[in-house]
Amino acid sequence: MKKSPFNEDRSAVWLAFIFIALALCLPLGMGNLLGWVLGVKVWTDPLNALAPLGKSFSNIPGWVSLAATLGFISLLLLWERRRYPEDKKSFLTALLIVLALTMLGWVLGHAGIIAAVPNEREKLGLTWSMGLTGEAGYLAALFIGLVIGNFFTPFAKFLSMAARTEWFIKTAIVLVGAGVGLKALEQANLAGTVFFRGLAAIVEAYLIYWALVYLMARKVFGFSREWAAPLASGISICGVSAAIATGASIRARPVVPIMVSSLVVVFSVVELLVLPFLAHSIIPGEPMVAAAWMGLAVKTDGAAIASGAITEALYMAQGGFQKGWMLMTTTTVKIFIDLFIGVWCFILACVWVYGIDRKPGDKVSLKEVWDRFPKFVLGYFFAFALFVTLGICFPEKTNALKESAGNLDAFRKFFFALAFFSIGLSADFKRLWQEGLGKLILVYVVCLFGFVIWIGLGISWLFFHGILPPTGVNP
Amino acid sequence: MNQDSEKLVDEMRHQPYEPMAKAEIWLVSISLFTGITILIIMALLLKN
Repeated sequence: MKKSPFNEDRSAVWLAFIFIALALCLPLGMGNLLGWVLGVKVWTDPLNALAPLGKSFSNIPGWVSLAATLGFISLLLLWERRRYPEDKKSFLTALLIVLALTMLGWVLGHAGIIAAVPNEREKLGLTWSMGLTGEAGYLAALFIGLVIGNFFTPFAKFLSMAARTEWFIKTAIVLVGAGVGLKALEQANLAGTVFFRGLAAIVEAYLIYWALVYLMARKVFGFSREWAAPLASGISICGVSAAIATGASIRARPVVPIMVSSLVVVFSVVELLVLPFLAHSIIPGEPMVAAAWMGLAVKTDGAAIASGAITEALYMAQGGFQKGWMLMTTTTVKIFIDLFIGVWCFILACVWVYGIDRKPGDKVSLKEVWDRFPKFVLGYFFAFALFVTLGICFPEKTNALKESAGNLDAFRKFFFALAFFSIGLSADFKRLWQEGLGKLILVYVVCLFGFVIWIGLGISWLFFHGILPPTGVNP
Repeated sequence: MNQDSEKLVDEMRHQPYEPMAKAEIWLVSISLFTGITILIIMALLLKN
């Protein structure tokens, strides 16, 4: 029998839906089948870093949860590769090493000294930290991959059979859909004032920032489409997820969005450390403008929410406002932006298939469009729709759905980390980084400080000025 | 490094000029026009 080539796109959708099906057993009353998944916390004592996510599994030691998570993922991936002709024993060995080293990077990236944001330092007993948020785990995984790729080349070659970057990326993106679906439901109940103004954020991020950054990258800096699109998404939408999803939608080589994402994570620290204080000094009487600005300008979820918390602390010290309103505004603006990643990827995939990849005079049949269309984008939408529908039809199950989405999010983050490790493993990343770093940083700095944060401030001012959070003690 | 990697590094060093396709120009133009229009309408709605 002829073996068909391994289709990472389709396999990623299947894999993600196996995770989703298991997660949904919780709201269906069949038990928390994924509650044992490992949750990594920002730590100062490594013994406290690992714990299962599910409350009902809190009596299980962290190392058991770790072993269960790695074992489960390796079995699933091995099962997916069952029809692919390769030495299964070698594949499993390589896969286990890839999983273990990625997890090591993920955990190291959560070390308090690296990940703790300023408002977490006191709780962790730290006087200083780099403030990279838990997303530093991606950089740590990338770094470990780079070390192996550059100094242990034969070992890297052995591991590369299991380091399937696109497979990991696409699986993670489908899982993003589930979490985003649930976030959409939660936002639907928000105060109308914030909700309406949050819509402005979507328009700004996707229709104005993206277009301007793309134009700059293409016309001023001469980047090709493959680089310009993930760069535009990374700078204008939501860092890691957006850059990676965009790259996959336009069929860019995986190393491209991973490089962009690494830059986004590093730059979000600069934004986190500068913008809340800048806002407080230039618009001291406008706490909601400042909060919305953080959601629009800071480019990773973790850093944006931390910026919102710092902004809230700065303004509360002066105004006696009720706690939570500014942070809610930052979070809402950020989540509103995240919600449309899938729609934007769908639009980009269509533009690329119909308008750019098609040769002049070619007629593209529907079948061809279907063949070329990235299936994981559809998987993302299906996961999104599934969680929204379940949330609407069974409002009493919202808490169980939230817990399911939390479990899926743990897998999503780990699959992204696997993609970073796999890219680091390929020796070209280091040279590529050296060649392209200067130019990428230049585009990032020019766009971010040239117009992204200032347009963000202008639009936040337009839609939020004059609105103040309630004062007094929280009810 | 394999050939793909060499190619990518070479591209990064000497990015070949790739003129903007019609679809790209349309995408950017429609995005900016729609975005600015929607923001103006929303701002007017809020003022009233």
